[in-house]
Amino acid sequence: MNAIEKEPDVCKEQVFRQIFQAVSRDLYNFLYYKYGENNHPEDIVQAAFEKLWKNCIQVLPEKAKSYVFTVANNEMLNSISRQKTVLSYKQQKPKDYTIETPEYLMEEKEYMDRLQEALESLTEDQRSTFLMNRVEGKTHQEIADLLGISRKAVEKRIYTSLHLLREKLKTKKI
Amino acid sequence: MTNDDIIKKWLAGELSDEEKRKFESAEKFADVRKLSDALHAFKAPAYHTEEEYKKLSGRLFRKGNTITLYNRLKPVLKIAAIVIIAITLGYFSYNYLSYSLNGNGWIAEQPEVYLPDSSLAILNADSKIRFTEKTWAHERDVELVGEAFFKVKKGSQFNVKTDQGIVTVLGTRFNVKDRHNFYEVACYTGLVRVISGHDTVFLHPGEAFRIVNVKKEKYTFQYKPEPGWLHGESSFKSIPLKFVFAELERQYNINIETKNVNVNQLFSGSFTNNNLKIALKSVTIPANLRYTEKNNKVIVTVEDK
Repeated sequence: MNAIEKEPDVCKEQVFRQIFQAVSRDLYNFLYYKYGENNHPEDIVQAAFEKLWKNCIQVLPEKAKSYVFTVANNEMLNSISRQKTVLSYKQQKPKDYTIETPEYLMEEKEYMDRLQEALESLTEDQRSTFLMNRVEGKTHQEIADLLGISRKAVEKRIYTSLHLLREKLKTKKI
Repeated sequence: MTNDDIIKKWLAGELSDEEKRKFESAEKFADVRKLSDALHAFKAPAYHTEEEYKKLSGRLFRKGNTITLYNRLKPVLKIAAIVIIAITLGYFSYNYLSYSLNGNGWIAEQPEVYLPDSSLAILNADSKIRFTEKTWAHERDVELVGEAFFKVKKGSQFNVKTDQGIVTVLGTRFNVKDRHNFYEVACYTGLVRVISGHDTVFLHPGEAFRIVNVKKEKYTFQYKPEPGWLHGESSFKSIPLKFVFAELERQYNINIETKNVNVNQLFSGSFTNNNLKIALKSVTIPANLRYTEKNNKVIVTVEDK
């Protein structure tokens, strides 16, 4: 009983700060991959943590992570001004050891455009899970913990996503 | 191992070194490798945790400061509330108690006074009592000027102190009248002890003791459960007229002047406290006196023969 009372309190600025530092980047990435840059993921992160602060008495520190993920997700779904998901890619740096023909560059550009389109056509859950794994290097278990789903479900989403992307990129090429 | 299995293992990061080399060189996985590389271009823009936290804390803790200020003030506010309540209570109870506790705390304007143990004192006209609430528990002392009827709850010794004597009882009903040169104690129930000067007198129900013009006397009166004045009647038994007139003056708040009247003549009888004309008649007619009344001033003269 005493142990629970001595738990760090989310209402303490120090503890709140630690939670923010541990969770905010993952939350931001999750929101970005799920809803795209048009929906201002950094603002949603701010709003979610603001809500955590206001309700700090009711949220145990170990529940804070799933709390902000849920709040952020609901915030997004409830947002009236929700925009279509748009992902953008950075132009690859020209590799200095080859001279790239305009044809190659065009093909490259075409490939990236198709990849973007394919990613945008995935479901939100598939895309966010897949990119957190492939781009952010999160393990299946880490993603399962963040989203509060099973490891198996994560595995399935990622594999399905890869399969869909391969199909789309293959067929279009013909 | 099928291609799917290899891809799954690759996705989970569970390929052994050898399998990894195979995967990386195999033509059939070229598109996966290309895809995997290309995906890095979609990396989310860098997230600056510290900057974002500064933004957030700037917004939250400016508000938060008022919360912590309130929290910090909380104990002070509690004390302030207690002080305010204490002052309020103190103010009202001081006002309430002061008329009974103060040195000059005479109670005169209420006809009925409940004492701290809910004993009752009923005051007659132009009478007042006072008592000390603080010491009431072990010393039931009441000071009286004038006339009062007491109904005393059983308990410790109860004293009624007047200039002319002390009445001591232990739960009973009695009447004490202390007027100028006139002292009278009448017992209605129980046993009453009267101490006056060196004399101690015990009274049983229906007995009374009085000192009129320094003359001490114990006598019996026509027994009633309560003195007549409680029902608006002043009764007298063999009392010099001047005390009767004095009582009339008190009851009606008038001034009585006598001319050639023998005020030491004894009077037995009663008058009402509710009608001055009838009261004056009931005193003057038996005594063969006349009176004229004008502006609260009554002049009593001997009846012409």
